[in-house]
Amino acid sequence: MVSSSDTVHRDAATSVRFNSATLFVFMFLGIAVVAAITIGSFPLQASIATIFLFAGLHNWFEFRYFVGRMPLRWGRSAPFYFVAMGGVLTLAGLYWVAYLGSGNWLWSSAEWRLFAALWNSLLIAWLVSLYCLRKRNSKVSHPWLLYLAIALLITSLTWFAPLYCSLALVFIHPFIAMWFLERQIRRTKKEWLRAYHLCMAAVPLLLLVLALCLSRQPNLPEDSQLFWKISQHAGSELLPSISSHLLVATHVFLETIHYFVWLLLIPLVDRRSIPWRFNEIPLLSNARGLPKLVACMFTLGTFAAVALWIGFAVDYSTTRDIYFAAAILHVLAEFPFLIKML
Amino acid sequence: MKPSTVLVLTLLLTGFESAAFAFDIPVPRPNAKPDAKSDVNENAAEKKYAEPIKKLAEPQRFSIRIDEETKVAKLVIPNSVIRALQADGAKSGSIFPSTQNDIQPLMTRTGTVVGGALMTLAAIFGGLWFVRSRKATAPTFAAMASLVLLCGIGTASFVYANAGPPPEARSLTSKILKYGFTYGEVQVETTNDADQIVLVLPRAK
Repeated sequence: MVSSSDTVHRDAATSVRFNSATLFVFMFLGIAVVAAITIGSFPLQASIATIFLFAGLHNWFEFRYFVGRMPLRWGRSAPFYFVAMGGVLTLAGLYWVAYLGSGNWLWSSAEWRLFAALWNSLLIAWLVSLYCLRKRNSKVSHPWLLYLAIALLITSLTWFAPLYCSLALVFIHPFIAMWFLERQIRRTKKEWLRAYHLCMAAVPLLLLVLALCLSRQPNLPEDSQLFWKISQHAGSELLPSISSHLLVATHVFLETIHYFVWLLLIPLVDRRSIPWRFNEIPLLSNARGLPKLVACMFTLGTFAAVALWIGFAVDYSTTRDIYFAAAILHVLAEFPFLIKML
Repeated sequence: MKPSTVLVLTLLLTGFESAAFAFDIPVPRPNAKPDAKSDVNENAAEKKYAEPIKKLAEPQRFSIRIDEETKVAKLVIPNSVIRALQADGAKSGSIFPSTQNDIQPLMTRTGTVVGGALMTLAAIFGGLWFVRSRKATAPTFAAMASLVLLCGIGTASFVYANAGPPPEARSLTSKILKYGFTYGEVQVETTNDADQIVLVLPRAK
């Protein structure tokens, strides 16, 4: 028999849950709207400011999250982790080779496109392999033929328009963080799931509003090398018919949400990801883990984040180049952990 | 049929249709076919395939269009035509300076072949999956109707997108001139993004 005090407690708990979810929606939407207005008005300035403030820091948080999720013993998941790490290092290595080789006479436009198509194809093959490894012991049957068809279709598109697919990765990357958060909320904060879906539905709407407001804006000035790089990163060269104001604003808006998710929302929904709770990291707190190595990596990560701030302050443009070359590591590292959560 | 199946099929079809529209595969030009010798060097073959040097003795394609945002009329000349002028000029000691800018086609031949092969495989595996999934659950009327509708829209838009303009708009004759002649200022530009000479006109107020 349920007592009246139990009912009161349950009602109170529901009310608290309702209030926290509602508060979350209002906060998310409020911040997203303010960000969209600010970024839409000053895209170049917003790009410089957000990367200066959050780029290195969010990488540190991501690293903290991934290390926290790494099991002490890989067990039956060993092939998955080997393929994951091998893929991250190989793809990042190839990317750096191309990046450092840019400007070399060997790399004509045709070679660039061929390299981009190969790299994108390898990326898709790696993702399919990871998904297969993840689901191979699953009791639920999966439509593998369909997955293969979709993977082949996407790969074919990367061969038809390799540079556009590489640009697509720039814009898809911020959504990976939103997907992470969705999976994390499913695990640790289910009462926020509907609220979060509502927030996610608002993102395309805000992008649409940005597009409507900015599509007729003149292109952003490219009179300095930094401004040109920012516009080019957002695809102004590949999509000349779209206002670079809109392209940069869209990219910066998505990146800002990406930073917001990693820096604030994921630690908020998963207490194991709260940065200062190092004892929640199995590899660090457990004697069977790798405490010295992990501590060393955290220290190096902290130095790298501080060095980035100093670098941005001294020579923003060069540091930005170095950062985005190195950032491919975190772009790739996100995929295996996301697939592991599916 | 499950809603997820319909959704995935819709995505697949949309993907194929988008690809068909966005990357209309170019018909190989007879004068651009690489010979056996040039096949050894794929780069050279690709360049030759992609951008045949036009002979200026042959008529060049020309179009006139209206641009709402243009203030001054623009004559846009493709760099391939400039190169043809240079080739002719080289023989006759022309004033055209040589240029290092290469026109790169949107798709290289390798990209077309590999992309096409992969897309064919995707269609085969997608079809296999569709045939096999039909055995498990019978498709509902709504699912089949939406698929037929989607295919219909796809076909209609494909036909519409590939249909040419009316015959009057495909020829340059005196019909386009109200008084038999016209003149004015024109800004001359060169471009890598066009394959024919274009005269861009501002819309009259």
